[in-house]
Amino acid sequence: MTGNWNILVEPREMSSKFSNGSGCKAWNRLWLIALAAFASAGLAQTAPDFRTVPGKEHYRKAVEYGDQGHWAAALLELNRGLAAEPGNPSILIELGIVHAERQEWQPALEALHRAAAAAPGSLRAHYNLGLTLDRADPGKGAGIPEYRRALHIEPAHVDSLLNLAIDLADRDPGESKALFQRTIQLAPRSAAAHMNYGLLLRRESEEGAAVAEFRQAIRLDPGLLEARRQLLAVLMSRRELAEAVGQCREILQREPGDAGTRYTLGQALIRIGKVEDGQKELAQAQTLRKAAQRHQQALEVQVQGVRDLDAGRFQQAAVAFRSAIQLYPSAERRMYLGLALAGSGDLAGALRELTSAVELEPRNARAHVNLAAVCLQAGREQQARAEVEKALQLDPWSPEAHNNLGLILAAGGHPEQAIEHFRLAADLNVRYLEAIFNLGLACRALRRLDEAAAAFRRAAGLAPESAQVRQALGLTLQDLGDPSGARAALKEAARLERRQK
Amino acid sequence: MPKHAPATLPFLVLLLSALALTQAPPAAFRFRDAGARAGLGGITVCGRERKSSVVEVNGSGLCWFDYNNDGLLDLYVVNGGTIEDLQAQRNGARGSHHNYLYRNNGDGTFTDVTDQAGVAGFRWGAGCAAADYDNDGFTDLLVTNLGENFLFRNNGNGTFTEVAKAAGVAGGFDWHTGAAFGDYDGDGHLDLYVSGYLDLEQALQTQKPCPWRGMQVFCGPGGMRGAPDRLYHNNGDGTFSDVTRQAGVEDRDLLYGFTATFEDFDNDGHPDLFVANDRGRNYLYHNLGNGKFEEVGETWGVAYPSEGTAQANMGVAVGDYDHNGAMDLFVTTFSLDHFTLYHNLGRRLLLDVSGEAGLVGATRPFLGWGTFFADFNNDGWLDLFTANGHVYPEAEQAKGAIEKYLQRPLLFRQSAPGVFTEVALRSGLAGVPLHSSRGAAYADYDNDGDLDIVYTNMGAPPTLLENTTPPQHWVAIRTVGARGNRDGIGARLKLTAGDLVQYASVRSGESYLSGNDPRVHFGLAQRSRIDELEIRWPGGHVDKLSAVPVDRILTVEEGKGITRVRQPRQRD
Repeated sequence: MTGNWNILVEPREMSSKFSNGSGCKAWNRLWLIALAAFASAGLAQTAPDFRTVPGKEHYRKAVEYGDQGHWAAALLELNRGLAAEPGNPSILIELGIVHAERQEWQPALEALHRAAAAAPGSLRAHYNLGLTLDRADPGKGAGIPEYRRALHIEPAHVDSLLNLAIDLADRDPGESKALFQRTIQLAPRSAAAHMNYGLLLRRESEEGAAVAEFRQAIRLDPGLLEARRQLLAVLMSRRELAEAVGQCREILQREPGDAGTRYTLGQALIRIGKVEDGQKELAQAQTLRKAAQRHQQALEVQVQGVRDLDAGRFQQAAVAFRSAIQLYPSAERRMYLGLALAGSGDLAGALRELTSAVELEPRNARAHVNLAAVCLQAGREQQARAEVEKALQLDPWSPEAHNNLGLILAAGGHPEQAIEHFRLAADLNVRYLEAIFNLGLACRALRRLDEAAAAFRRAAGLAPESAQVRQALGLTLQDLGDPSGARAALKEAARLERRQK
Repeated sequence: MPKHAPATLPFLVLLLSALALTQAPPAAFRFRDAGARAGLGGITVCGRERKSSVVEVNGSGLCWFDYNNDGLLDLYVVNGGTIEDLQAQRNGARGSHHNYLYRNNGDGTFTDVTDQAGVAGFRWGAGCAAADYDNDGFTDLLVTNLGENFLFRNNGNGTFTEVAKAAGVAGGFDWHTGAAFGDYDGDGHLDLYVSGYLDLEQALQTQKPCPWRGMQVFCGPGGMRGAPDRLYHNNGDGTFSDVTRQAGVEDRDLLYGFTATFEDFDNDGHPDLFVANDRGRNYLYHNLGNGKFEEVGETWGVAYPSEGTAQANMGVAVGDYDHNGAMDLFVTTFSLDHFTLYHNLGRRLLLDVSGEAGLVGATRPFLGWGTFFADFNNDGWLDLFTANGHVYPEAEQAKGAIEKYLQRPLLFRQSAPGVFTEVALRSGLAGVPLHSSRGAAYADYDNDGDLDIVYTNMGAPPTLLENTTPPQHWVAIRTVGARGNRDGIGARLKLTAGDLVQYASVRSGESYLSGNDPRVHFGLAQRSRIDELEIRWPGGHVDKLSAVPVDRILTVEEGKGITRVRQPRQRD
């Protein structure tokens, strides 16, 4: 898991009037290029240190999964590794990175802070902590101290230099400039460094030098569209229209839905006398913008629908999802509508919408999982099993799929197999209450009472207010011959139930 | 041979380019700071000196209008307030700062008549638009506020009555900004468009700092909810109805609206509507002639500059700078970007020509607000003005920043057709105190035949620049409608003087939340004869007038011709 396979470009819009703390938009159009989240390329890294064979083995597997982009599986292995070797900084770093990949910022930052505290001399810990701080809270320069620590450890660490230069561009253009120059000296073939340096130069009114950097970035990486867009802006203001048209076409070939570039192309064509062609492009730009606007509105309505769904307001959620579908149909919206209908008791409607979702997007594992769940609710066990198996073919590491398969297996009289899937689901997502509880129930059914009690205890930790979990724990402890533990759990269950009532 | 004769354009451009190598830069204008003598002493307040909220930075506009019909343009200056004022205002109390009405004494001085006239307001104001909305012959005044707007109906005796609520244009506790009057449906009654900026409640709550050039400054509007724009239809009985949705000008994206203006950009006889938006595309609404509009900013080419990315547009200037009979647009924006000139090709197509017009490099360090086209030297070609000033007072201390908080205005002379050369420092503006300026408007306030300039400043009185450029011939026309609205707003004027053909129109509401001289002013250079003045009135009636005197202020009434000729005041 080394190398620059994890490139993230976070655009910030240009030319608005103010600085922005929210990270939604900032006026300077400097782009954060986050690089090399795992071990930095080109640097000799000390081999990770392990005290146990299982710790080392889980780490190795996690790295393999990470290289293939199987984040859930990597997380599973890392959690298992950490259970074998609590506090191991190498495992913590990878854990932080994997959470960051899943945009789970809080656990990512927790893991990386722990790693940096456990290994204060670790370049990777500080660099990745800086990067994750920046990604979690863009535009604030939160990563600056960590990049500086990383550079204190390794002054020639290119990615730290580059990200620090980007973070400082708005705060100290002088230092930023020097850092960009050093980065380019160390990594002359870094397109990202050239492009970002060009952005800084353009902002500082050094247009000629900026153009040279944009051109170099494009030479090094012809697919770096932002460099092309920046160059295009300069070409348009200089009236170098023929080249501008060429750049527009290059961008649109790679990103046909870029309304802004289409608009520029329209303007450029009109100015070189191709008025009709230009007007077509302007009209196309407007169509694209309107579609994007509808999409955005649909997203906003969808977000509201998901809130309603989470809060159990199923009918309101269904109204929201229907309206989102009207604005901009998608498989995901149909899937959500199906869930809302299922919640409100309309299983036929739910099955119709979820079937439509998987037909629209047959490779959407979540849609298959949800269809399976509703099939199960509707008593269609065979179809449920088929759907959940399709989901697992598409995403072998889906905790929900494993949980649902466990349910189907348990209902079909295969408790041993069910336990395996519940356990896997619970390990893939350590906060997955339903899977953990189901694991407890399945173990108890097979009289594997110790395992059942452990699962219920874990569930009680996640859901301390659940009377159902306490009840199950109490009964299991009673069966285990622990009357005092059972009494306490059952008493607590009774209290919670009264309170709920 | 007139300098800008279009017939010889290619040769002339080459000639000018060649001459530029050996000759002095193009002649400038002459202005002098007349503020102290004029007595425009009221300070415009906009929050505290050190800004902690986005509410405190946009400043305010001003309007020239003749409130007492004495033929002299009076000045209304909109004032802001403090956050405390705004909180008080929300609870029904009045603020501690007021707007100013200055009566023009006709001798270069003004008298503050705010109290007598009853237009103090005492609410945090943003902009204004003046027009005779009830067609009674006296100009009324709409003032946009942070909070409910004012509509001051002119009583015809030097006083006004505030009627916004009864008229239905007060709006709620919103952040209102630009206002423009125009008769969009041709019923003879002036309708009103009011832009909205931010959700005021949210803006007031947001006080957290944001980093900018290594400093902590207030956070900008990004991510905040916008306030809706509104179109009010004039019912002809002193009331208005909100027709925003029916007319198709619903600000669906709640973009951050600033200046709005009505203008017939495609010469189809129906006024279209342009709205400059901050951090989003500009709106251009094409008037379909049936009471409805269609948004065409992208297809007509004014939603964005040629780079295709949204600007932070604040101010709007409208004028036919190249004499092709189609109204062009100019917008101001944030620093480190460029102010944008959209050239109207006359076939529902406007092109960003800022680069070739010489406006990209010259405007880049400036953060622009008020702006207008005006012919400052009466040579028959429109020039350009912008009032500027940054939003962060901290910019004065910013490490490595080329932008400053206090910025001088820019004055561009149209030095060759379509080319603008910045001449402010050679035009007498070098010694004018620096401010962070906002609203701006032109008028021939001293009726001496040239256009003067006034602009508001943050935390200071307005700056009045009297034009003292050597005289050339000119004519100014006050339109009085008969079938349509009494102000003649929306009328299109075509003036022919030998080889010089110019177009202009009557508007209310432009620049930055401001109003220019309502009279149409044409420079004539050395031409002492006007061959024809053609006026196409709203509704389509056309008057063609010959034997039009020069160097005079004329009143032209629809269907009657010239009904009054006024002598200019002699220059000092």
